[in-house]
Amino acid sequence: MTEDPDLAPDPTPDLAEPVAGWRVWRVHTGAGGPEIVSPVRPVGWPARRRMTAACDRGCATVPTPTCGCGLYALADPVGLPPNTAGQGRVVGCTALWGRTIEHTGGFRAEHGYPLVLLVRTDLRSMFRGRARLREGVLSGSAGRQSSGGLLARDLASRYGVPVGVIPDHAALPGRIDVPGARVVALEATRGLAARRAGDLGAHERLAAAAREVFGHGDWFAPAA
Amino acid sequence: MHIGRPVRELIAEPVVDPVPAVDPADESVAVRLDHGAFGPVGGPDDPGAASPARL
Repeated sequence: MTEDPDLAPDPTPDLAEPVAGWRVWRVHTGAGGPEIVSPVRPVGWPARRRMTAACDRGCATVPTPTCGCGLYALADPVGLPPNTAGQGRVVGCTALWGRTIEHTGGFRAEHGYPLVLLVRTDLRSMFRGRARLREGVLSGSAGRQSSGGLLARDLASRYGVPVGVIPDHAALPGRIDVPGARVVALEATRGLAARRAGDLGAHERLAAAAREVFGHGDWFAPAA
Repeated sequence: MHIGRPVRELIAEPVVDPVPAVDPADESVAVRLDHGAFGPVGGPDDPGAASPARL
């Protein structure tokens, strides 16, 4: 009996790099520092470990076309919900890989990890108390650092990804420059190896691309 | 979040792992990019620099 090659699963990967998509997380601050959490269920994305989707309905592989399981992201940030700017949320471009289903406006995937996170300065009220605590034990100009910046730095350190602080007046999701956002996603993906190796230029290119779209603010890069 | 209808399935196997290495030493260091240039690492404007930055 010969196996029909059209029906046999193809083990050859279609892509040698992750898919990049945009999504929102809630931020929860616990004893170990800030954690990004799914906005729809209380599941945290672990730091420095890949997030892997599971299916409540028992799909043997995740995601499947006939189910809604998987890690979600949008192809472009314009589709992000209007409450993206609300307190306690961060926007970001995430890597998705493994089994992935491309949709007309986004993706569902098996694995994920953020490529770049963006913290709005309106998060500073949420973290003001913690920032004051920090500032109380620091000297010199440390007190001038915004609490949004402190959160960004903590996220960058914990997750090992670049984090930008975007201003309160940054473009609303519906007004975001789509071609510019695609440059950010491309730079976030293609520059991954260079950033990991400590290439300052790669960090600069990503920061510059994101600033063009979301506005100017502090940027934090993890150590190489 | 509405991602539309499914179009195709694919397998993505990144050559470069998107997940950074687990290195406790790294978690204490993040460096601020300041207006297009890296600011002084571990200096007075880097309030969280608990250990020397390695960028």
